[in-house]
Amino acid sequence: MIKTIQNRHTKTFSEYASPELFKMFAADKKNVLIRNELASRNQALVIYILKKYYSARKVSAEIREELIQEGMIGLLSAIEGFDHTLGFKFSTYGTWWIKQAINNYLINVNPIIRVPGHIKAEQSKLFKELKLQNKDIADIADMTDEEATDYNISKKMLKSIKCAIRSKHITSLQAPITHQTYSVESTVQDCISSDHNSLDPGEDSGREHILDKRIMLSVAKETLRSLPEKRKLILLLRYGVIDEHDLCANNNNTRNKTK
Amino acid sequence: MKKKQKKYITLGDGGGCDFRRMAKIMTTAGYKMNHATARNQLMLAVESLLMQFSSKLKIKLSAAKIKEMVGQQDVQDNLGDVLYLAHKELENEKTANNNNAGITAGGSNNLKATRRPRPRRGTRT
Repeated sequence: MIKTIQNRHTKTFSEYASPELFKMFAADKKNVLIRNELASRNQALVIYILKKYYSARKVSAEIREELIQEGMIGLLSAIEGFDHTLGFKFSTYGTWWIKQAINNYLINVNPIIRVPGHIKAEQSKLFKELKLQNKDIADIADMTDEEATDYNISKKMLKSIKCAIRSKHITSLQAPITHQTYSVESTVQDCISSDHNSLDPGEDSGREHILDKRIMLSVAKETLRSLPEKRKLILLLRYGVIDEHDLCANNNNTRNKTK
Repeated sequence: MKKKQKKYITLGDGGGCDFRRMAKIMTTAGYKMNHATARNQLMLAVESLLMQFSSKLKIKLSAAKIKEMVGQQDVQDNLGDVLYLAHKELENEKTANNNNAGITAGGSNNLKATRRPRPRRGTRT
């Protein structure tokens, strides 16, 4: 299909120089074929920019494919927004779009608590300035409002930045933990010490499911209330919760009261 | 029914009674029964308990599966602690309610009116 469309022209798109293609694309913005040709010519720019992220060890190797995808999306929007009449090279304009797309993705990749982009931007500015002054980033936690005004940061923004920093140290209760000795996968919730939550203070419940046990206790109470007296007594006798003497004492009490 | 499904379960050291002893105690308490009835009643009680658990904990269990679980040794063993705590809490609630009723409404006269009459000796409930 593409071949047949391209055959109608005297030249294929690949035979045109890039500035000419940009001119053609500016005239016909809806032409996807020209846009794709331009993207394929400039996709090396995405890889080139991404290399800088990896040399600075900013990102992990696992998300490389995703970053390339995001960079390509940025490149496409750069092609659509590029104005060839200004006389600049496309790579100058496109680099910002690609960087922006990659950074945007990195900000939003799997956060436990999402931090808005403008707060992230202010935070990175503050980090840079602190780095220039050879100050520790941990000082932000003790930074006062007066000190923040020196860095052109408002009181509200300082509060947001402090919250954003704190949110990094939060771990989800459902985060999986793979045990080294056991092949069982468990979550953080399972491993939280449950001494103060234990149902029986004398009992060391360890990794027991406290929530489940509480539900079980409430269900057992409900069931004991709803069971017929005969069944309830048998159940309690069977588990040694009550004994013969308790039962006799109970019976005597009821007899006396009914008399 | 298979022999395996009708087997009797021996509980660990929990201070509980065997079925014959249970039947004897219950008979003296006014509920005439033999050891087999005691076992059947226990099974029904455990079954209703497990059904409640499965519905509350959102575990899908069929009626057949619950019946199968009732006959398992470890299931019955593990119910002991929960039942002990539940009974303890119920007793505490009952005594607290009795005390409150005594303070607010003049005590035992009020209790007599609301108490259910004890079933007659030898009648099935």
